[in-house]
Amino acid sequence: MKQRKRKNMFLAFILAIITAVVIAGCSSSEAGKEEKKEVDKKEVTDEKVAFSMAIRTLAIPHVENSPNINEDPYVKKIEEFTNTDIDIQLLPHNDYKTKMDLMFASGDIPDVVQGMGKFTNSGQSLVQAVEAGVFLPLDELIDEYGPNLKKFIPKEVWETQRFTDGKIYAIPQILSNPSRRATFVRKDLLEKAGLEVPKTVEETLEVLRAFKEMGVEQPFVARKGLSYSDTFFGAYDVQPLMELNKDGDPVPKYLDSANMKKAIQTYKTMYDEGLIHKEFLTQESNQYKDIIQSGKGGMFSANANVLNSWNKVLQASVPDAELAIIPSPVGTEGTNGGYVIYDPAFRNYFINAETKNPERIIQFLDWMVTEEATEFFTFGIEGEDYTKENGKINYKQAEAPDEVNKEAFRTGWLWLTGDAAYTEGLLETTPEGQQLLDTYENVLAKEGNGGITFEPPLTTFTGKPDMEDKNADGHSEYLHGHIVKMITGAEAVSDWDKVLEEWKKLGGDQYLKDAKAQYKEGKYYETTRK
Amino acid sequence: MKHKQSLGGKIFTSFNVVFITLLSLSMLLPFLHIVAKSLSSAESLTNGKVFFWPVEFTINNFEYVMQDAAIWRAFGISVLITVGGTLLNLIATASLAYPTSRPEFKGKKFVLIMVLFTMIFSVPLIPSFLVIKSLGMIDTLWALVIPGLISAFNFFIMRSFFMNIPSTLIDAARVDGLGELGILFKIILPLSKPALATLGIFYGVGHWNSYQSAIYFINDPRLYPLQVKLRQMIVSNEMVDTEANLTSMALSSPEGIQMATIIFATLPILLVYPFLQKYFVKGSMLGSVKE
Repeated sequence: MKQRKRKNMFLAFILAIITAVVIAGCSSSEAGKEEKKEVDKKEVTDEKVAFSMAIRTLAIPHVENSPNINEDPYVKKIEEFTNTDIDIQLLPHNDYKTKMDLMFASGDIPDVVQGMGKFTNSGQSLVQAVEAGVFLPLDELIDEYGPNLKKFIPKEVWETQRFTDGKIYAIPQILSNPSRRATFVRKDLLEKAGLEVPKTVEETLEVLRAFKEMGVEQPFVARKGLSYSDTFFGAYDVQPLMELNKDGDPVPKYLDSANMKKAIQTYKTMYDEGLIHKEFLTQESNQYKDIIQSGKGGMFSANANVLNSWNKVLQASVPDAELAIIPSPVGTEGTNGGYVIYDPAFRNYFINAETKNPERIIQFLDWMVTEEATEFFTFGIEGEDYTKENGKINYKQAEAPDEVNKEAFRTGWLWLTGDAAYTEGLLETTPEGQQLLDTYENVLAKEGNGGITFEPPLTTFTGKPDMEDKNADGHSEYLHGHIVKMITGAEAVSDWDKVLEEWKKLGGDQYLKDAKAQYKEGKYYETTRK
Repeated sequence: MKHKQSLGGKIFTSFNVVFITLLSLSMLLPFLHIVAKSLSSAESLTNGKVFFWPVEFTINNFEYVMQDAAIWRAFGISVLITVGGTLLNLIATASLAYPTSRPEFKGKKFVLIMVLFTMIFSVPLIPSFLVIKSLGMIDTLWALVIPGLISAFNFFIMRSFFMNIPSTLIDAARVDGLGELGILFKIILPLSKPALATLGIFYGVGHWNSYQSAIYFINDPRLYPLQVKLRQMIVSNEMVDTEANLTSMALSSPEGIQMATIIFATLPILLVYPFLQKYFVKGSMLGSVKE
């Protein structure tokens, strides 16, 4: 692990040198670029335009198994619709950042480069490339050629795509409902126990105790690192997010010692009473999934969109079982409960400054949010995936693995600017889907905890990865270590104040100072509920 | 050979037996577990019933893996780079090890230092990427073979083996009129079978397991070797909660299929060992006895 870190540092160093060279090399061509853009603006070619795109596979089976994604019938169909000839270059799901670094270092940069929503999510080299002028500022081009994008993407999301120089550099794919995780319960067990849907932490513990009595192996399915198990940190609003304190300065929520202690105490109670597995610290995500899908779990947290598919798998082994999404428990009056809210942009697309027809690329992405494209990406190719009768669409529901994979590819991957939260049109075609949509609207939209996100991120803890909070995936390793000791009884919960003192000495004080300074500079944005 | 053991010796021996048994079990059992899982039904897997023996025996998983054209393509690539690459490795290593093992070659000190240098300092990723790119090897299988053609470590093993071959033998060959190439291929290599087998295994396993360089230097999915494919199959199951946010969750490969893929990707290289074992035992003792 250590060695790898060192390797990464070395990589970063090399990169810095290379970038310096790139910057020096690029500055000379700056003048010529301005001129060219003027010419382009006058007329948009009607000819077939060819351009290349680097897109991450997202581990989508249909993408990774395809011998040549550019020959895929759906890709061909898009080319037909938009009169383009696209050349998709796949970036592997793992090692994505390294691959990006290599791409920028080698100077072979495709016309369109896909990022992961934020400038900083895709590795340092992308940020440096933007600084070096590798990509086009898009404000004017979008005004001119992207009327549908402008309408479809909310203003706040566009704001997240502004770089430090104030210009928009990327077209975002929106996540319409950023409360993505949810609290799940075995509805059938709840009914059997004769209990209501719990609202508070106390009621939730009662339900878990009842589950335990009924012989449920893991009443609450907790996971390694308390990842996807932060339900009770959410209930007391002490997740590792930044909020403003009384003085108007940004501070991490876990500084709220009273609530933090209550949250840890809740986990401790669960641990002591056997409501979470004694070995939860080693429970990996696939074990967690197995426990749930074989009907041995009572309550847990997961992404809302797995509801229907997990229900299907679970019912195959336990026919009477039924999973349901419930409002997340609330601990302290006035908080929402729920999980960390995601960034409102899922992927984003940068356009190479040297591309010949940037306006056609904008139009290409713009087409993807038109009605015609929505029908295509939602339902596929007419005659193959669906039939149309008097304007009514009969969609052939995906059943076989291949069909499901194809559907996920079409709606979730190829639809570059479609809503990343869910495909509304598709959910509407089934009763379970409609119910899930309803849950998104009425349950998830009302919960979740946002915070202040710094862009670019604070560098206080660079080189001290143990101190860095992991946002949706939990508190920093340092704090997590103490939290775990408190849950298992090796340390007293009341020592949390001492832990915070220690944390401040280890760099926390500097962190707070840096946060305050950057907040004043205005380099941040807030994540909020829908 | 039987002789009395002291008490201390007995304790030591039994401790050894226990320790080595435990050690080998710690390697064998996980493998057995994977084999059992690959031969069990999906249902028994989700219910966590499978340990070291298949439950509800089925070969469905293997059937599924075998009918996947992408896997076979990757398999072919892996076989190609393992067989072809290892051959090239051995030829290249031997042709460097032979001259540097002979005292009559004057510049060998310099060459040895240069080789040693690569052993201490490895090339960082980006410079090596740039070199490979400027040589036009990106997106070709050469990128997986050429950069590691001679491994410094293997080179030193082979060189020390060659050094143990008596000079008189080589002189005799020279007197009989054999050229240097002839000496290497007709005298040295036939005498060095144990070394070749050992290093062949080292190189071969390395090629079979090649993953990172394939990810970095190859963009065309048709040229991905088996390990990359394997990794993809495993990852898509971990996808439950990574960044991707998909409406209809893509069907991830179920555990049994993953396990079958692991077996499929490991078995071929495992099968090579028994055939080379007689050389291997001799080979790994190389350099331990000095005359």
